[in-house]
Amino acid sequence: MRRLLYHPLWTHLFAFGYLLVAGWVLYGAWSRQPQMQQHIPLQFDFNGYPIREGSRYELLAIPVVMLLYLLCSVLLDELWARQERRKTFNWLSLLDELIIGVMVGLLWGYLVAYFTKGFDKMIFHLPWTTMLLAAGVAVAGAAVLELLRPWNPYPDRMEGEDAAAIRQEIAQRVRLRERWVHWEAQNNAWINAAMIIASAVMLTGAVLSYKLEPLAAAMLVVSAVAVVLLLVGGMRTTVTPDRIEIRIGLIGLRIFRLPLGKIAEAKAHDFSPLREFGGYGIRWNGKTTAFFFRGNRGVLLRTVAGKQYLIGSDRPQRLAAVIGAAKEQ
Amino acid sequence: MLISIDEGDPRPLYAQIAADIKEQIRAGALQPGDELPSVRELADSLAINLHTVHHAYRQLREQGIIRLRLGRRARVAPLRGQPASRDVVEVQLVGRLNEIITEAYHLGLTAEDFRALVDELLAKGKDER
Repeated sequence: MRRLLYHPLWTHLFAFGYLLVAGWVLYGAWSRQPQMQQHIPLQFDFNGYPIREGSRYELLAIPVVMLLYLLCSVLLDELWARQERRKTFNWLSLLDELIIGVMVGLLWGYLVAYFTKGFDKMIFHLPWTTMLLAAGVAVAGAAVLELLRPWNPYPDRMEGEDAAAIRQEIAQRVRLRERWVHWEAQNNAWINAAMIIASAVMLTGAVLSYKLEPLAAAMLVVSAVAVVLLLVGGMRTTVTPDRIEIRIGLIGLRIFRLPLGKIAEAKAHDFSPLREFGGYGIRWNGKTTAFFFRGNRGVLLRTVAGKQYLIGSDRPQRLAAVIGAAKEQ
Repeated sequence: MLISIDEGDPRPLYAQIAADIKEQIRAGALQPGDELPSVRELADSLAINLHTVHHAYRQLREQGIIRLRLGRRARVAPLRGQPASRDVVEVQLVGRLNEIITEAYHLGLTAEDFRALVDELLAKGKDER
């Protein structure tokens, strides 16, 4: 049974709590109208004297940044949890509590300085003690919650599958049937959404700038269309009796094609996207050309000419079995 | 997802594709929410007509097995929570079951043999899931 979240939200309890505290403290400060003026000092020099004033609503940037950071952290922790093969301690999950704790301490220190010394005499130094205390409590609490969180295996990881049984079943079907195709996709909804938003931003920029910079506007339109056509729709891997192919984007642009006869070996392979390839997408690390949009598993192909390709797959054992069976056919 | 067709199979091609997808959902190789290839991609890979694949997908959609929306890729629908009504079972299953029972009779299987065979296949399907 699939779950929505494999890294439970309650592990971020301290970060959520601090966010609420920041909102509540800001609301409380603003509601003290006479004391908190519309314009307040916002930037200070090394000696703590104000060098810039701004609207008091600029303080809202702190909880907004905290919220964005928290959402990113929830997403990253979820990606981590989906890659886990056993329960591990995710140190990165403490980062949001650290940052949010520091920001809450900063906000608190600022408001205390503002209300105790007043607008005119305000001198502000970073409240290190408050910041470290707030961050320390949050990180310690989050560490306990991270230890307590349950581990649920992500179904696509197929740890329990019997590789030999898969190979046998697939070999039988491949031998018996005249035409066949193995198809799989790596298509993340959030990447599609991000690409559509990026494309919309580029189109808006083009509309706003076409009178002043028509060439730049045209380039933005071309880029927006290219982003949608090539980066929305994910990556699809197809194996047929004679070849393996990879296509990307809405238009299904073919970025890789290899006749099965040229493959010397195909095996399921675990890898580290960041350490070995520096990220996701189409990558080359000097030895292997890799194609993957998510995860850290795939099939390593070694050709008879000695080249290496890594095809990202959510079910690498199955993909390797299909290639193996097709080669034997 | 492995989809195969065979010209020697007496079933039409669209029925073979639909049966393959259903079988893989039953075996757990395809999960609810999993994406299916576009009609064009599948037709290209199998070297068959677009309409054949479209026919298969339409049949699966009518049976509530996949979700097919204009402009979006087909996806495996959530599994049925409750058994289908008796009328649907009559239409989709009973006629074909009778044919299979008749075939089994002519192959010399007794009712006990037939039940044992069905139990064995059901148990295998359960293991696979």
